[in-house]
Amino acid sequence: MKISNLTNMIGFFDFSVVEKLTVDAVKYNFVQVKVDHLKGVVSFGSQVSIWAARFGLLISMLTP
Amino acid sequence: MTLDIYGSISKSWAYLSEILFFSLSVYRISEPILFYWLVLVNMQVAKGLLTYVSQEVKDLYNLVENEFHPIDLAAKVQPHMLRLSKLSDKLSSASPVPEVQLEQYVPALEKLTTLRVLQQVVLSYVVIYYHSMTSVGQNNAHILLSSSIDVSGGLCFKNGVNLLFCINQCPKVFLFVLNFVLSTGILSDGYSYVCLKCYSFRTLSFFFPLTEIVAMVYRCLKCIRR
Repeated sequence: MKISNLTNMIGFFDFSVVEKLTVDAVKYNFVQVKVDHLKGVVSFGSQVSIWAARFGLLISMLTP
Repeated sequence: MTLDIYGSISKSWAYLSEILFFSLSVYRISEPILFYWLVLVNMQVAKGLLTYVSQEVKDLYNLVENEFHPIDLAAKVQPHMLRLSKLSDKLSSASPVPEVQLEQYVPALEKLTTLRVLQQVVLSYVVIYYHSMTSVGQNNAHILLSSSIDVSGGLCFKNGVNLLFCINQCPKVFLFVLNFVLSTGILSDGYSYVCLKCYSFRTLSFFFPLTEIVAMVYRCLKCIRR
């Protein structure tokens, strides 16, 4: 998602504030977010560890 | 009612008062307060706390905690918060807090809304990197992924779910979803992708995380086994 889109969605704050809140949210494991200022995008939930955990869940569900 | 794992009830009430800025206790807000918060709020809601609050607060709670509006949650919450800031309530003389100024909660609610927007957007837009899944050491990752796409593809038509799978190395995954392919291409970071067209163009830009797919696959398997 483009940073500008996210900023428009959250009307209360500038992106700098949203970014600080995002850092806190990531710190406490509420969300997995990566901000790429070079590309101007925010990407969500792509950490390998998260996928590893989710795949473990997938396997346990498919092979009960 | 017991709260063995979270401490005594009096301690819990102290934490709750701390969260509400009543400052009745000596406990400081710290990291574990997040867990207490979840437990306490659920406890109070289960006890019927919402029947005692004003309609504005009730609407706000439902918007922030229960409903799913990833695109316009902040816009929906904003007018409620404006009205909330004008509300204030005087309490009885028995209460240690003489008056409740709801406007003091607005900054915290704005932060909470931002968090909820992020959480809901994360649920809606997730790119699944195939190389990430294979790199975690699951030998049968491809088979599982293929089957999950295969099964959930059928569900997509019913639920209006759209899936985006980034596929860098293994074109076989395409075979399973050929009928659902709307478009393929290259993402900005070089990963090829396949976008599954499912049911509705309205929800075309919504992509579900793997856990959602897993849940769908699980539900589907249960249906098949019946």
